[in-house]
Amino acid sequence: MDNQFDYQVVSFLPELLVYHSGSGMTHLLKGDLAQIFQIFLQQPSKTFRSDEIEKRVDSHQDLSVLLNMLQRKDMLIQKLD
Amino acid sequence: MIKKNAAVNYGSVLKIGAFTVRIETSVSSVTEGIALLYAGYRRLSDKDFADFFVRIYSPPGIRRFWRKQVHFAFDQYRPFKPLPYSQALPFFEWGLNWCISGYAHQYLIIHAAVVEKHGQALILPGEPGSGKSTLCAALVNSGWRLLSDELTLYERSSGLIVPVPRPVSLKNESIDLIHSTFSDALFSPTVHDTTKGSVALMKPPEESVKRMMDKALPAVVVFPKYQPDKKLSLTPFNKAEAFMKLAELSFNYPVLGAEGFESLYELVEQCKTFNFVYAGDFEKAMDCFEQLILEIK
Repeated sequence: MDNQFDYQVVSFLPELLVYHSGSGMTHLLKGDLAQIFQIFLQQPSKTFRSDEIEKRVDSHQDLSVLLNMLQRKDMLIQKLD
Repeated sequence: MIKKNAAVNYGSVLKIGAFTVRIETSVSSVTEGIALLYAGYRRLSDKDFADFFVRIYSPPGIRRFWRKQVHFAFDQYRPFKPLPYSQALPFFEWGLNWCISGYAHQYLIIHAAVVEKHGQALILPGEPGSGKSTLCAALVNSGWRLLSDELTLYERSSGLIVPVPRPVSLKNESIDLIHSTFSDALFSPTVHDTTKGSVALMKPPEESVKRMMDKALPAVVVFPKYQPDKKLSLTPFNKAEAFMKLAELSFNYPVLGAEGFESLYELVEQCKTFNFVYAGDFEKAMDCFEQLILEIK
């Protein structure tokens, strides 16, 4: 994510992230969703490829659902697949 | 707009914690209620700056004779529809809550009771019906200091809770329950048939009023839930979910934006967070909180 995408994230536990976007929305991310979002935090990018994500997450079940959830929350901007 | 000829026969400027409130009213239940409930509060001069200028008055015209009503005005603005005349005193309290929660954005404001003991603040957030005001009334009648029964004000610059001790608003069965358990507590007359049912206001303890400027360190957040068929339990609640619940219960979290997020994070980070289920046994609840606050201290 670049500087145009303002956000704040805090983590009280590794599997629980609280995310606050520039739009004012706050979300709680749990489990796999938190794990996936951590990847974007470590390597900020406004785009992603599902196959690259798949290599890095433990659970591939419902990955597309999780990615869509992040997109709906405006946490991911564009899917490149 | 307020009619210029609205009768006013009482005026007072009160220091209520961090705020100065100018009150004008022509309604006897409000003047009597203020005389009883705000007896120990410092009166300021008319010339002092007031954060909030509120008026409770009966409108002129036919409504003076038929189904009499009262208006609440903040400066020259009437944010609410009028209520029945008998509800004037709770209307004043609800209106003042609205003023603070809508305008005091120098604080993060959470819909929560907050009390203090041994220098540690216990925050009791909750939706209506969770029993937070009842618990709060029981706590302040058992040696805890009242900071607020409705609005928890977190000051980010100091990391402390700012008191705004005002009468505790009790509803329905809670009124008799607190009255019978704590016979020394002073109450306003009960007002029936409000949108919240029957309402009575309990006078804050003298010590809480005397120490209204003493801020307190936030130490514990306890989400109470009154469940008459359940055993008392206090269980740790993870901070991330507590954060989300507090954000939902905050009056101005969205208004404050990034500042709100950071304030709430700092508040949650420095507190222990719990869920609390109780069935109305005050003695056990008091023991539980006393032990908790001593452990944290």
